[in-house]
Amino acid sequence: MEFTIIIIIFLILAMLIAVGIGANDETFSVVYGSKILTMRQVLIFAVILAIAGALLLGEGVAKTVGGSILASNFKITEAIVITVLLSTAIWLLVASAFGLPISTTHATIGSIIGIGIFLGDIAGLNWEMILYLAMWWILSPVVGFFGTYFAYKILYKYKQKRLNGFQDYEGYEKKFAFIVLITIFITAFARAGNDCSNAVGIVVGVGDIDISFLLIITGLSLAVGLVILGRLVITNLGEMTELRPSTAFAAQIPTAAIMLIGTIQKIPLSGSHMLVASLVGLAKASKTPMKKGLWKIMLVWILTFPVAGILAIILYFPIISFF
Amino acid sequence: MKFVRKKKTDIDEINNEFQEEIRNGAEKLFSYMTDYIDNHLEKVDEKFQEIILCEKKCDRLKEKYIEILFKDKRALPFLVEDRYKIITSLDDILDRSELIARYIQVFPENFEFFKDIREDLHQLIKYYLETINQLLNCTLLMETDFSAAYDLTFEVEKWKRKAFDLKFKLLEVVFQKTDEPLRVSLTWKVIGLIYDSISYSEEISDHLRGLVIKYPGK
Repeated sequence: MEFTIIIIIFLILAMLIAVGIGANDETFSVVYGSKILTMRQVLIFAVILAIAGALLLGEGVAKTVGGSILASNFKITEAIVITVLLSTAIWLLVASAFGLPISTTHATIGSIIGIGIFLGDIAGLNWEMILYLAMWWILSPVVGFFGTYFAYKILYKYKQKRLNGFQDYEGYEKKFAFIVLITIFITAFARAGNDCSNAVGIVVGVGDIDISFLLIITGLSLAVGLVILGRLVITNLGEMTELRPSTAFAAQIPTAAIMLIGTIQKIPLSGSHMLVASLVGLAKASKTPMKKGLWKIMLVWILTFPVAGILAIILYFPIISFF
Repeated sequence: MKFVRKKKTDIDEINNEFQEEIRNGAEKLFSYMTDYIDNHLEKVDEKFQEIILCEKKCDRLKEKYIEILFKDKRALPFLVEDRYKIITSLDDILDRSELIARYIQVFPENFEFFKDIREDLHQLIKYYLETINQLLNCTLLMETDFSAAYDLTFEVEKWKRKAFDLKFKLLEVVFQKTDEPLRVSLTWKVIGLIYDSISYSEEISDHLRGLVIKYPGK
């Protein structure tokens, strides 16, 4: 197959994944759920930050995804790249169509691991890096849960409990509406950088392609996904538990912090997992009932790694026949 | 910023004016009923008209309040919702007061309440006024002091309980007068309407108590 055609296929698939990431981006769900912004405002801000984040922060994580998960002696071929991109895209779009927030990070890395084990056996993977990433993936939702739980408890004990009357409450929540917006902007910016690398990371592994160009394309595609399908996941998560600006802040602050640190540290993270864990932490801390359907989200999370891996292996056979 | 403050002042002023008007309406019904119970009918028509006017003024103030409430795009939706519920409920109180007055207005010309229940009827209408006054104090306090509002809801409940006992005490007497069925029927209907207004006020105060519990500031 000609190199130009391969590059075009890479681009189309990377764009497709970025559309899927955008469709599955629930960063703004708390500001929508707490009614700080309308859906239209959410989409405008989300699009701007998605493009900016992808361009300015995407490179580091992309290199981790593309160059550090497979063993150093493992040759990333064009067929592998297409397989990984395609399996990630399919799983992402299926989940988004059902309004379920899944992790693109897990889908991409699940696909890479699946194909790595299939072609290179156990030695085909950089286990040290995978275990390091796994530690972040386990810890980040745990930190999200406890971070939110304690953030809420502290806010409740030292501030909310002392609020007296609608007027007092109004002033307090309005202040938080601004604070939570800033937090969300940081998260969305960092997350776009982190998520876009999932779309382009494996392509970077092949080399010979300008990463900045790839990040611009994926940033734009992510924005398209947000506008077209993103509202489903935003609505679904935003209504998961009762949210006010102050509680939205408690749910968002750990996610913002971990996402920013992770992106700077070049770690591919799942914003979805952290946010859902934070919302569960919030519901526990505030003793608010949660919307039904958490089990579905958890099930999709658990299934993401094996499904993406198996899907990659299945797709590899028809794809390799073209090369 | 100045515009936001102005809007806030507007809505607070209208709210205060609206609540004053409800209080005024309740006092007018109290005065109207007092005259009617004592059979001092010279001014009842005039007082009836004042109740109607009061109710209309309240409707206009309510509309104005709701308009400003929903115009504020930066307002917190749950607060808008709660304030909206409170103001519409309070407006219902005056609608009910008007209903009592309208009902009495169409009584037969020679109608008089039984002499032996007049004192208790006075008491019942006092409970009505007291309940509404306490409820209005409570709704005003909801803006600035949840704890005080919460405590006041129990005062409203106390007046409702007193009215409840009194209602049955009155009915027990009225239902013995089997020789005057029309008079009995009209009397128990009025007692029922006054008590319903008291009971409705207590329902609103229950709702306010629930709101105070919902907001963590109590």
